[in-house]
Amino acid sequence: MAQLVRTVVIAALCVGAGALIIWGPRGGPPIDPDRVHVTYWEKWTDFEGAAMHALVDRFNATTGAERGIYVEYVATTNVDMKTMVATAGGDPPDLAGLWQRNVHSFAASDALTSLDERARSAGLRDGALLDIYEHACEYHGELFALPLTPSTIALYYNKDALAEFADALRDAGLDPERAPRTIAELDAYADIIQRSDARGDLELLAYLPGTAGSFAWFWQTWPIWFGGRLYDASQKRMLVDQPAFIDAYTWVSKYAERFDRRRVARFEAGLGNFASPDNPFISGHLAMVRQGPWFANTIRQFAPDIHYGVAPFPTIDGVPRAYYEEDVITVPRGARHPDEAWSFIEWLYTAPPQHYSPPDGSTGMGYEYYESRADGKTVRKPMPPLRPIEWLCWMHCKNNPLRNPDPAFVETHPNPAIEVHEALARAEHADTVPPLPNWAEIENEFVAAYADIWAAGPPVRERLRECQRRIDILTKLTETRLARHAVAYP
Amino acid sequence: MNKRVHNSDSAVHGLLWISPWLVGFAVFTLLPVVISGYWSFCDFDGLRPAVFTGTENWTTVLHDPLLHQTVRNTAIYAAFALPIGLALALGLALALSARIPGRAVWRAMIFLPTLMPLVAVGIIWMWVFNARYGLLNLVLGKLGITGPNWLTDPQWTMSSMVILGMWGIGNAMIIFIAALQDVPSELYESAALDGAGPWQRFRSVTLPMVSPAIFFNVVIGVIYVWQIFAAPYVMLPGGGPGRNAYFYTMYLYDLAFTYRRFGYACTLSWVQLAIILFLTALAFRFGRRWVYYRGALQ
Repeated sequence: MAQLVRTVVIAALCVGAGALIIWGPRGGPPIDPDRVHVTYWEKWTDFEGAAMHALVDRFNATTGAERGIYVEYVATTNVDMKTMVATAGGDPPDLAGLWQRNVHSFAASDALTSLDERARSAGLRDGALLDIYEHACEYHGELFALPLTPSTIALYYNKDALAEFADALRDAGLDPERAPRTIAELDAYADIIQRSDARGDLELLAYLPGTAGSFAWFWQTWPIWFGGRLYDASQKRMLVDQPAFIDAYTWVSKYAERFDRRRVARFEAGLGNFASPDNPFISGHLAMVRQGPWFANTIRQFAPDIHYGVAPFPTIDGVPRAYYEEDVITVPRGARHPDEAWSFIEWLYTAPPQHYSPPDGSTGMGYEYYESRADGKTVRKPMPPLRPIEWLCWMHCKNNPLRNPDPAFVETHPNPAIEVHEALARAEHADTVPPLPNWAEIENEFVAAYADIWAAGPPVRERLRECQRRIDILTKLTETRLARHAVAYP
Repeated sequence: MNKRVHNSDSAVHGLLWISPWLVGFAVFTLLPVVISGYWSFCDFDGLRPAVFTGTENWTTVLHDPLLHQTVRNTAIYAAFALPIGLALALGLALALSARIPGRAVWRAMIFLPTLMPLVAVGIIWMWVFNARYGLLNLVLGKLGITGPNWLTDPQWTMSSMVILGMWGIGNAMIIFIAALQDVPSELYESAALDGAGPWQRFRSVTLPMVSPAIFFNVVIGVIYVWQIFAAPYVMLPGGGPGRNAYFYTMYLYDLAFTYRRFGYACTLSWVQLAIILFLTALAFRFGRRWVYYRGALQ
């Protein structure tokens, strides 16, 4: 009997292996040996990866074919770390899709190829890009990257949740038809919009500045809404013990206190991940969240019927302020084909508006049609042609890096409130990641301070002073390290 | 003479046969160890040539408050996780050495978790520790106890890591079971004839007889707990509030791969080696007093 079982198992394994060999997955068609093979590491998968893949395919079929270039898109997790290791090992990809926050760190370590001259020749340094996005790609005034998909942060609010508490909001002199504009108004909304279950556990809150439904990199942004700046350009440092920081994080700490820190922690523990149906905004646990334009994609994916609005995030004085960031494309130092890699970047920005082919399994949205909302009805209309870079941002549901976007970009954009995000990108008060080569280390110090303030409630001023002391030590250390290579901080 | 030549030939043949391993060891282990020794005296960001800075990294070790906190955290973790884990493993080994129904199944159930990837373990335990819907607080709730916010309350993060550490006691338990099977039954019979009760038999027969296994598990445990990394890194990146669960290897990893301070990270890896060697030497020093080797006595 045992012998029989063994024979059957071995036979089944052999049949499975044989089937895999005969019908299993195959590699792509061989790359034409006469074409220069450009490797492109990028962080995106899923629909974001599919969008860039479609662009790469279009380039390979058109300009790439003419110039003898073939770009291979490789989706890569931890792309920044892997690019750094590959660059250190002398075998980097020709193109690397990084985050804006990597640019200064990589450039200070001489890990990126300057794109300044190439961009100038292509007319991309003469006002083609929005200043904020262009400057974020510079290190010491030199361009080391180009924006791919930029974004600004705004307030997403659930109109139905506000309507549920409309009477109480009106009694308090608030308007349930619109989002709060000042921090004081936000606090007033928060006092009213809340619900607990029979056990006393929080079920619904207006807003939560802590960890839920947010990302760690949001945490350092609070001083912006309180009228401060994250980076002191005159002192070339991040000063976290300045008044705007103290005011902002005192407010954060008190926010946790007013609902009882312990209850808030339990509430947060029950909230789901961002890209899931359990997202606290989508599941109805938070009436308002601070998010980027991509959030419209998440809402459409998991709860397309949510009745929501978008507005600038409330500020201390009611003056709209913005936080922006962007994904970028770079050519690592030591890349084998920098000129061919640049051809692809240049094509992204300068190719004429065109239509794109849907990859296998695509729903068609963004390829053949877009959804136009008029009179409360959603109508499918033929997709107009867009430039590659604009179509990429459209597909990612993000802002446009160009100073003069194609009108069709806003008209057809899948985020119905993209105008709000576009206006924020042009706001007088817009701030971003401090341009520091040691930002990763400083940010982690700050995140540690924030986690303490939110979870444990230590005296804010003292905790921020301690954080500042650590930041000063790290700043001095980086100054010394860069000086060894004749590079000025920051 | 002929015998000596023959022995020499055998040695050459032996070395040739294991040469693939020797080459691999030299290139992928020995060389990196030597290079990290050199880099521990350098400022090296991984991208530009290393700059020799003498003892700068080594003096930084004395003045780095974050390092001192991670050493303190790891020591506290070791002080609790190691003895509790060993005691639990020994207790389970004793229970599963008795003739109980389904003994093999119980042993397998306790050992199997040690085979799971640590990142997956971390994700599972994030749910177990979930303050609102977690299994642990659910059980505590049934007992009328309101469970804490395990992963967000700075007073509980270290405790949660110690509890998580018990996940891997299966290895130690298996070693204890093997050692218990090796205890001669006549010793228990003699002790029983002399009127020894269960506790006296455990204290005077079992413990001395399994002391080499205890010693082995202590040494392996010291090495393990001082390198704790994957699960806490997944569950509490940055160590959670107050950085109370920020352990030595997490800091070392961040220094190297997030902050690109490879030189200082190399220094810390050598300091870690020194700490582990010191604790192991200490275990050997004190082990002489309480470890009983039957073979040595004979």
